[in-house]
Amino acid sequence: MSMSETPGHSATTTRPDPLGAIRQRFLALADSYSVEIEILMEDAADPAQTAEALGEVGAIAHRVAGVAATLGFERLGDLAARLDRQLTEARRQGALSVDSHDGLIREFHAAMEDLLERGRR
Amino acid sequence: MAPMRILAVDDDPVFLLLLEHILSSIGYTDLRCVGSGAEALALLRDRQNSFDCLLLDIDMPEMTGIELCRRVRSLPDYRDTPVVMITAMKTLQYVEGAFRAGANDYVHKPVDELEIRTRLRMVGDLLDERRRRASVESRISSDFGLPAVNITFEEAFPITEVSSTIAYLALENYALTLGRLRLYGHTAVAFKVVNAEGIFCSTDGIGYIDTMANVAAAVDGALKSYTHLIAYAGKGEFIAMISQRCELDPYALQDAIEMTLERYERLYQTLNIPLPRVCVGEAQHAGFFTRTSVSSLMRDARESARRAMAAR
Repeated sequence: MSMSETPGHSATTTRPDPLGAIRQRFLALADSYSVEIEILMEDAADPAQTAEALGEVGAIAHRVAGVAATLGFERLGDLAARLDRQLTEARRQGALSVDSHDGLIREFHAAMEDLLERGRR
Repeated sequence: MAPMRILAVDDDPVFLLLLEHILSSIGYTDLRCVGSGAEALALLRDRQNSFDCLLLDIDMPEMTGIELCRRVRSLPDYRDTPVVMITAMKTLQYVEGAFRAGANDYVHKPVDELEIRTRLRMVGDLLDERRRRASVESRISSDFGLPAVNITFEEAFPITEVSSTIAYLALENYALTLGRLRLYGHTAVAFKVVNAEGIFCSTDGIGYIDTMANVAAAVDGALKSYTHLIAYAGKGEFIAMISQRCELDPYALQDAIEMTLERYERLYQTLNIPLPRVCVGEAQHAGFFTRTSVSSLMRDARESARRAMAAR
């Protein structure tokens, strides 16, 4: 699915969306995840907090990766899975740094914001 | 499909809602969900609850799914209950630890309806077989007033006394997690108890299982310098998967196993059970370009052990 991930809203479908309630629950959580990521990235700029903050970002990515694709948000799920893997690997190698993951974290955050924005419309 | 009471454990409430939706749509409606290992253990320790199958996420904070699986296996009521791990791609490497902790199978996260349907159908078949056997054993027990374990010679029963030994189906499932590249870096080797039929005929189910457990312990000792998993495959045959590509000397392994088993010689004489004698097959490896399947690798290993027996 491309940037316009809007499952359950097909113009030609009038049947109730069986995943609608779960999707709404996910979007409500995604709203708080988005804010959390912004705060965590500010924390991560402090070297004393980098590892813990990026670990928290990884935990969010892990949760999103586990459900997003099944709910129809494939692109977000793919970005989350990539970020989750990248951060896990970096932690294992003891090489967690903001610079190495900033791009993917921003992309993940933007995809989540895009999804939330479409949900609000 | 027999009814199945399932306990699912995951720290993500959205995932649990999704799992509930998927399981209900494929006919599994008796589901209980909890968000942590501690909650799961509290439920399992309460004998008012009884679950037929556990679905455990590997990556959970505080108590991981692997640690939870280990603790579940220490509960007498859940020693044999099918445990299916839920794993994201990044935790696939931890699946070996999950099998060692007593897991029977795994499914990927995000969950695919077809995959979970297939896995739960296998769990259902296993439970049906156990219920059928429990009914036969209960009948034998009430007719003769003796505890009975009803097994067949062909059966790949699990051996729980040896830490590196897992159920045959679990070993197959573990090998399937490896993928082509990691399977290439493993070695499969089979062991055949030459006089297994004689042992089977000379004792009861419990005696036969105990004897095979002694053989498993001897095989485990002979492979102690390698990281390995062993499974009893039925018909007096064992398969070991070694976590490295290596050559093995079947005769040296055979000698080491026989030396261990000879310590039990007097005990077996007293019990009138033949002392187990073991043949070792050649080490088998997956080809990188020939795409060797797990089942053919295991079949080749077992056939090699049978050839070793025929040549003996």
